[in-house]
Amino acid sequence: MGAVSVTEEDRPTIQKVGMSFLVIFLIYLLITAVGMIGAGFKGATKGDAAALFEFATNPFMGLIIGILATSLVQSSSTVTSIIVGLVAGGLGVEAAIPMVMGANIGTTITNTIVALGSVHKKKTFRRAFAAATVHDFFNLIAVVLFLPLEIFFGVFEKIGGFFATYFVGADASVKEFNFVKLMTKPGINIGQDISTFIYAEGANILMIILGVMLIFASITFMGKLLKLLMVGRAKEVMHKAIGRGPISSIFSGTVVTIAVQSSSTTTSLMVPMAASGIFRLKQIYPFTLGANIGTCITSLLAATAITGATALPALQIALVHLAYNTLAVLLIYGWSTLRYIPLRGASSLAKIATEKKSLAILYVLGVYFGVPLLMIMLSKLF
Amino acid sequence: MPKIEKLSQEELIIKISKVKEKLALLEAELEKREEERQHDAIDQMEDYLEQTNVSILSLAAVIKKIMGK
Repeated sequence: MGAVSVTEEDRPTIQKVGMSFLVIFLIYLLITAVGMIGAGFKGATKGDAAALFEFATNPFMGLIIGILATSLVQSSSTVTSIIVGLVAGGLGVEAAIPMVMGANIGTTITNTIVALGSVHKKKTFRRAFAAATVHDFFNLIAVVLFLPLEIFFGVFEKIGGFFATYFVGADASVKEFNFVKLMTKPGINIGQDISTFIYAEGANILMIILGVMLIFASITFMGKLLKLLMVGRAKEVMHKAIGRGPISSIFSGTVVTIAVQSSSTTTSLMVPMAASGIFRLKQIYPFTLGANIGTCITSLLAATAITGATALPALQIALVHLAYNTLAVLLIYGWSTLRYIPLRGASSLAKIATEKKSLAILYVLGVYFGVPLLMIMLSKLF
Repeated sequence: MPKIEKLSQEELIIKISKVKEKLALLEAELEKREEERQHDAIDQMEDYLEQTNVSILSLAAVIKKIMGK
């Protein structure tokens, strides 16, 4: 007899309520952990964070850090939340922006690994690999277009700054945010006490490490819980989007990603669906773009953890993430000349990878690890 | 050889429009079936979600599999 899967409808209400409370606790843990990173970083650098992150002032280095970190932890939400914490601790928004862009690229590794799972079924693999890499091509084009704009004109820094000032106010010691401080302070204090108890001299560094671990754990468990809790809602949203065109698909991709708090889950989900031939690449593509927008909710959530003088830059970087992904969709998908480049690129790459499977491996290792590591090594030499 | 019927221009236009109508109906039917399959797939979302549980270790396993072949 096969295993019986429990659907959302079968789950008892009491269990659903328990799971919902657990999700709320995990959100609390996430924002507390971001606060811990900010406090630990501030304490460790004694206000001179810029010197510590001197190596990341090169935007390409920042981009590479973002790609590598996200490829390794397989979660852009984790990395962008850590970045928010670092900005609160003193890392410059200017240095953090390329990292956020890199996180967007790094996160696409998960759906590519899912596609590689069907490597021995030729037709299936071709469809799966194209569905996975259309996201890669889109994110690469977004970086090619927007990183120079950021380097030369600071476009996203300005957009993020404008909206952050609008929401938080130029005077960052906002009263509305004190509620969050009241909630997270006990948690941050516990983290501080634990770190001091373990190793008093390096308590701030330990607090950063503890914060990173807590962010990773809370996002991972939250993702697993939300997958179980929100699958019904996700189904409803996706059912409604069928046959309604690309804008509806973008919207449903956004909503599903917000519901499960993971763009990797949303984009990976579409890979087996495309592999079986049920969804065409053209239909998967806008849904994937929605996932890029939906994933920004986590960094916005993380930004609410920061209070006081650093609330403004923390919210600024979270809003930069949102502005970057939204404008990328508007420009690349909205402009017909650019819209088809990711589709053509993914189809061609999938065709080549199907014929020569080792090239698929080379592509994954090269894009996510090889090129970033090589660039780091080259920057050390020159 | 099949017998070729000689048609007037009006008859030809009528025939073409009928074929176009049939084609549109077939396309609509095809689209409907595709959407039905998509709705069915969404209903089976739990099975697809199961396939998304991958990690860096899965990548190592795939590399081993490909290189081993």
